[in-house]
Amino acid sequence: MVQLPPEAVGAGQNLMPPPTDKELVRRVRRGDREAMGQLVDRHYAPVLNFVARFVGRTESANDLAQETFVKVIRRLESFDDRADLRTWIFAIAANACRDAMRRAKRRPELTEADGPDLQLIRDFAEDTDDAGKPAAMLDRKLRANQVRRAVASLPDLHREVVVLRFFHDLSLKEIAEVCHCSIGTVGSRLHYAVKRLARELGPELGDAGGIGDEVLGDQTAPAGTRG
Amino acid sequence: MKCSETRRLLQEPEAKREAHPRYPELAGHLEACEACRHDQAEVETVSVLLREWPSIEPTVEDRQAAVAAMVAALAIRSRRPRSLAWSARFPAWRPASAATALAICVLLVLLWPSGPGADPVAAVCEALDGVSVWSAHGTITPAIIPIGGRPTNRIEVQFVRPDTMRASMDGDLVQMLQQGDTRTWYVKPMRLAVIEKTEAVDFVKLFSVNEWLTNQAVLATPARVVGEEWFLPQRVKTIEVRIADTHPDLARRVGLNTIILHANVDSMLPVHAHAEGFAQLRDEIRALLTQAGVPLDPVRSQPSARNTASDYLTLHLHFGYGGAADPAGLKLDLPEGTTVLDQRG
Repeated sequence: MVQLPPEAVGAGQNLMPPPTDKELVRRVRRGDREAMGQLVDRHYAPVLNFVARFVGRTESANDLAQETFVKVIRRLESFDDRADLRTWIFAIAANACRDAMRRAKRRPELTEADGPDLQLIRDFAEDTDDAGKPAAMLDRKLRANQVRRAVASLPDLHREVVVLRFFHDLSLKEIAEVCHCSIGTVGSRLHYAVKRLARELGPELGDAGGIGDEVLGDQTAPAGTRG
Repeated sequence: MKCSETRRLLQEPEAKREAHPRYPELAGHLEACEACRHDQAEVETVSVLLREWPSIEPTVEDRQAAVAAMVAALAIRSRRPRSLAWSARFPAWRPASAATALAICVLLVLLWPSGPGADPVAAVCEALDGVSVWSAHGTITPAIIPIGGRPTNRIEVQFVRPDTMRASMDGDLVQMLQQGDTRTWYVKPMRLAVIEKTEAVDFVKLFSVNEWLTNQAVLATPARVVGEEWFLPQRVKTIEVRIADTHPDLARRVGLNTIILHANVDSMLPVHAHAEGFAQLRDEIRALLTQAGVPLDPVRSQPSARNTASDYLTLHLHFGYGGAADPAGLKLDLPEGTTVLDQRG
């Protein structure tokens, strides 16, 4: 393990304005370890969450996130400063995820989403935030697991765009860059993914106080009303 | 405002949506269109519900590990050993390399299709000139050269066009493969293969890899192993090779001094290259396609803003499934101005 200077992680906590991504990239290219720490501070959490949701395995997410950042450092010379760093990193992370899934030759493992009951009970016993409202806490965790399961059941291509759009607020154009496809394709994938999620989570939506059955119960848009 | 535009706008994150020039028209359309209101309700509700999936907060140790891995990766790149011969590094490949080279030559002679000229590379070069229509990126997936395994010589060059395009199958269809949503056609006489994906159309063509494979002396030896890493359970070597001084013409034409192979020792050697000159390369492919009777959409597409605004090319050198292979047998011919990236993408 490489020994890091203490300032390499969590750096940048002073009164100076935070460096822009462009500045960080320039410094990292020069081998500035403090800048590497800042880069990680800024982008590690989004990447970690993206890979965890895309691959569907929280336990391997850190490995993939770390692999992503190794690739980032190796490819940084080729990064076009005019491009958006976040989108570029997401593209690398997405490639790493695709490779990992291809290697594993399997759908994302649903163990976490499929077998939540034991964990739920453990969480229920340990969670103090909702100590006064155990039913609410249980409900929240059940809903979270239902969402995980629904997202994990999407085809890879659809899951990828859903995660980028709804969890990371990427625009269709940015998603297209990450996914190496056209904006129209992103829109189409999102459309079908949202339809499917709405169908699968429809009853939950009603329970959660979201959209009512009068909308989700009717999966077919009214005929002849498209402009 | 059309429903399709409305739907697209609804799919954008709120901030982007509100910044859109046609955003003011959205409310009016939604008021009048029940179908779009339905879509809006679905998007918004799914958005709300997905927030139930809590985020993971990385620990300090996670971040430290990431930085450490980055520092290590940099250190590996800067710690390049002077010289390491392939034969010294991979003694098991030594006795088989000659046989492999011979096998490759035989395969190429047998399998290379007869094109308009005796030399396919020359044909490619003659076919160039002109048009720059292809956008941003492409991949090459050449050469599977196993030793002790079944020799295969599938070599592909893929160019991705993000806009829509149709290629007719007027040529002599040799083979079609379908895998998932990707269909690959192999078309005579130029051994062109067109890959159509749902989101893009790729063009696949054997081109100067021929020269690369047949000319055993193109790459200088010894190659250098400049790094080795473990991405458990895989072992990955970073290998640097150079075009031999005996091929100044090629070196000048290719403009490629150094090739970095990022080698998954188990099965694959991806080579990642980048060049402004790939627009030219695409012109070659385009000309070949035209010659082969594949009508092309004349629409010009814009350079991609992804990664770099210029073109890039990725070579995946698939190696000996289940058996050792001889990377010294690899010969690479890339256009002028090429530089090499060390990673996929």
